[in-house]
Amino acid sequence: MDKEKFLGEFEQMLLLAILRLGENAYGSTVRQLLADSIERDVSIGALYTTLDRLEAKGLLQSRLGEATAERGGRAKKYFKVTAQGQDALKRSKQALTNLWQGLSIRESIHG
Amino acid sequence: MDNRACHLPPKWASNLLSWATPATLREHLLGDLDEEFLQRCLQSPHQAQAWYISQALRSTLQFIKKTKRGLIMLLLSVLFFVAVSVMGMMLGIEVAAYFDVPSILLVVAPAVLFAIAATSFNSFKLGFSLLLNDEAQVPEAALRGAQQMFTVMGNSALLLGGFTTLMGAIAIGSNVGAEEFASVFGPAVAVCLLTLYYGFAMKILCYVAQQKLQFKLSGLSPNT
Repeated sequence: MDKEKFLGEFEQMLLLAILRLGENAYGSTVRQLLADSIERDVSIGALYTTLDRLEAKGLLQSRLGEATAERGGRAKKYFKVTAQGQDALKRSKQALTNLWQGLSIRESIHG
Repeated sequence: MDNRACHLPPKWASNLLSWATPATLREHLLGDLDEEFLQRCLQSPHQAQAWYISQALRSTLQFIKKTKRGLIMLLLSVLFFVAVSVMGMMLGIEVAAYFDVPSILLVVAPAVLFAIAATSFNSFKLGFSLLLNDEAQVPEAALRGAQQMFTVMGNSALLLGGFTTLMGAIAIGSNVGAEEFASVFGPAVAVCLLTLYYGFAMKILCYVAQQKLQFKLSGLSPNT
């Protein structure tokens, strides 16, 4: 039996956002994508705490990018989902799909 | 639109966040925040300022529990020490009877000067800055110098407390006659003992500071 833990909800969202952004995935773009696509206004601190944890687990890898004047001369840190990260995402999705199978939840009706 | 407001985010918020953020994340995180601030500022400077402050405060709260754990514990323990001491004072007599500015100056000022004289002004400054910053990395020799400064300051305060109490005792013995003994002796001894009391209080605080630096010297961190 696979004893690896499943990803948390926010971890999945971050990995998916990074996959969507491709080569342009760094803190600011990830934060904005989450705000635009799922209306979740996360703090930059919470974002980096999770990114750091995912990188430590080997699910993400990072590289330093360019420093620009609009960033106060500070370098960007680009992120990329590793093969291990993609596997973890697939397993989490599969687990949820299995649990959803055969279930039907009545659509809630809001004005 | 005020374009001047778009150049920089609120400095205090930026400094606060920089102080709380782990060193490994600081550069990228602050850069990302500056970049988004500038984009938002082009639309509405006031909203951008509010957004930046909100991000800085939320993120500071996020990090401070991890990066400043040692400082928070130090402040809480000192506050607890002060609270318990004040409570003890209130059980006896009026709290005001424990405060005497000349006695404080007799102990604290020479103890600080002795500590600087025996070590260096840099060690004095470094000692206090290390108490506020658990992440600071300094050479072992500088760390030992700062630790030595607290040792000298604490021991000097205690010895000065004893010395000035003896001075007071001699003065009482020389000046208090038989006729006023009953009314004067008690209050005079109380004031005389205050310097010893301040010496012990300062020794306790310096001992904790010294042990905190010893913990750091051992390669340990309160944040791990």
